[in-house]
Amino acid sequence: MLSPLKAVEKVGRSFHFFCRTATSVAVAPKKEWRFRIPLLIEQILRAGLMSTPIVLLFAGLVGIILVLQTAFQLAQFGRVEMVGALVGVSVTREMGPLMTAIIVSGRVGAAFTAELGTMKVNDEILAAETMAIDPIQFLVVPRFLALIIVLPCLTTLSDISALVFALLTGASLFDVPQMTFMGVAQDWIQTSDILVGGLKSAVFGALIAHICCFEAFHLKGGASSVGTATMRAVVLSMVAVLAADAVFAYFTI
Amino acid sequence: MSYAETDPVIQVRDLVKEFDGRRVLNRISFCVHPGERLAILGPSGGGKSTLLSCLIGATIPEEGEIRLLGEVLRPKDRKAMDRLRLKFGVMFQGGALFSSMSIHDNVALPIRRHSGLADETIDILVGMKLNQVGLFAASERFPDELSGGMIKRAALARAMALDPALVFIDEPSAGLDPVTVAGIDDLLLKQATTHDVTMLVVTHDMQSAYRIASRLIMLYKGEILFDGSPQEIRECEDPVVRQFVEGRKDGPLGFQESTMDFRKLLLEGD
Repeated sequence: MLSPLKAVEKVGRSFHFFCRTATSVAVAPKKEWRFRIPLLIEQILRAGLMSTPIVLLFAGLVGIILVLQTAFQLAQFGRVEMVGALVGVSVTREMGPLMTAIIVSGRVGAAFTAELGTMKVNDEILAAETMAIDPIQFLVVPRFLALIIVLPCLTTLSDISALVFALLTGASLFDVPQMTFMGVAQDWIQTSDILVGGLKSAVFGALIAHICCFEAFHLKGGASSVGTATMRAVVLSMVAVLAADAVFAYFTI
Repeated sequence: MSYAETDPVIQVRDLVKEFDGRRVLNRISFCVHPGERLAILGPSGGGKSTLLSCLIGATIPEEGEIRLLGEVLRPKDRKAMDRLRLKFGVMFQGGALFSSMSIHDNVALPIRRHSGLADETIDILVGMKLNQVGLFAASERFPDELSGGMIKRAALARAMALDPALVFIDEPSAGLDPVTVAGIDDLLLKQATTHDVTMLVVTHDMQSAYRIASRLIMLYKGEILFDGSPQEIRECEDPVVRQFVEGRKDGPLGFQESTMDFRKLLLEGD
C-alpha cells in the first residue's frame, strides 16, 4: 500500500514522464522521424493488426448479447425493429470505445509493461541511455503514437463487427429485416457519436500507453517486480479509461 | 579549460554515495590516465558496482565530482550527458543487448543514431566491429540464440561501436567458464591496445584482472584499500588485500557462516 506522500510523488513522476513523452512527440528533430517511422509501423502492426481478431470477436459477441438481452423486451412493445437503434447508439457512443480500450489495455498494455519492464531489469534501458539514445524517444514515443492511431481504428472495426453480428442475430432470431435494422440504426446514430467515439479512443490509447510504459520504466527489482508492474499497469489503465470515459460522458451529455 | 590528450581521462574527487543512510562510497578519489587499463576489484558489497554506476551517470552521488575526458559529469543535464556519452562506451555484465534486434542491428544502432552515415557504410562498419570480436558469422542471430561468451563479445562490439576514447567494462568474467574468460580477457586487451582506448574494468576475478589490467584499485567498505600495479598487489602485505588476492575463506574479510543449530532444534523440539 502506498503512503500518501509516496502516492503524491508517484503522481508527480507520472506527470513528468507524460510531459517528457508529449515534448518528445511534439518537438522531434526532422532526423528523428527517420528512426521513428519504422518503430512506429512495427508497433502499429503489433498492437493493431494482432489485436484485430480478438477485438472483432469480442465486439461481435457483445452485439449478439445486446440483441438477445433487448429484443425480447422491445418485442413486447411491438418495436423489435428498434433493436438496430439501441445497439447502434450504445455501441458507437459507449460500448465500442470502452470495450476496445479494455481489450487493448489487457492485451497490448500488458505486453508493453512486460516487455519494457524486462528491458529495465536487464539494463537495456540504461544501455540505451549510455549510448546517448533517449529511451523515451526510442521506446515510449512509438508505443504512445501507435496506440493513439490504432485505438480509433480498432474501435471503428469493433463498432462494425458489433453491428453486423447484431444485424445477423436480429434477422435470424427475431425476424428483423436487415434493411429495417440498418435504416433504424442509420437514423439514430449521429455523426457526433462516431466522432466522439474516435476522440475518446485516441485519449484512451494515450492513457493506456502512458500508464503501461511509466509502470515499466519505474519498476524496481527483479523478475517478480515485472509481474507486479504489469498487473498494476493493466488495472490502473482500465481504471483510467473508465474515469476518462466518465469525464467524456459528463461533457457530452 | 580545454582537455589535453595527456590529461587524466577519469578524475574522481571525494565521491560519496549513500543508500538509506548507509555510506557505500566514502570519499573516493582517483585518476585514470590515457591508455591505462584500470581494474576495480573488491569483495561483494564493497562499492564497485555503485562506483561504476556513478561513473556512467546512472547514479547521482551525494558529494564529490567526476570528470570524464575533462568534462564534469552532470547526470541531471541530459544534453550535456548525451554529448559526453558519445565519447565513452559501456559493456554491461549481462550484455544488455536489445533482445528484439539482431546482433548486427544492436551494434549498428548507436552508429545509425549518431553518425548520419549511409546504411551501406554502416553495414561495413558493423561487419568490421563484429569481425574484431569474432562474431561476423553470427551477425544475423538474436541475443537469445547466443552463448554467454558470445553475448559478452557482442556487447563489447557495441560498446566500441562509436570508437570511444574510454570504455567501462562490468564483470567481463561473470558466468563464464575459465577458457571463455581467458578469451574475453585477450579480446579486451587487444581492443584496448589496438584502438588506444582507456579501460575501466570492474571485476572480482583476480586472474582476469592480472591479465587485463595495468593498474588495480581495490575497494573495501566504500574506501580505496589498494591502488597500484599488478606486481604491487602481489607483494602487498595488507591482510584484507592478501586474503582477497589469495581467495581464502578465513581472514579479515569474513564469510557468513551458518549460525543456527538445527540439530539441537530438531532434538529438543519447541
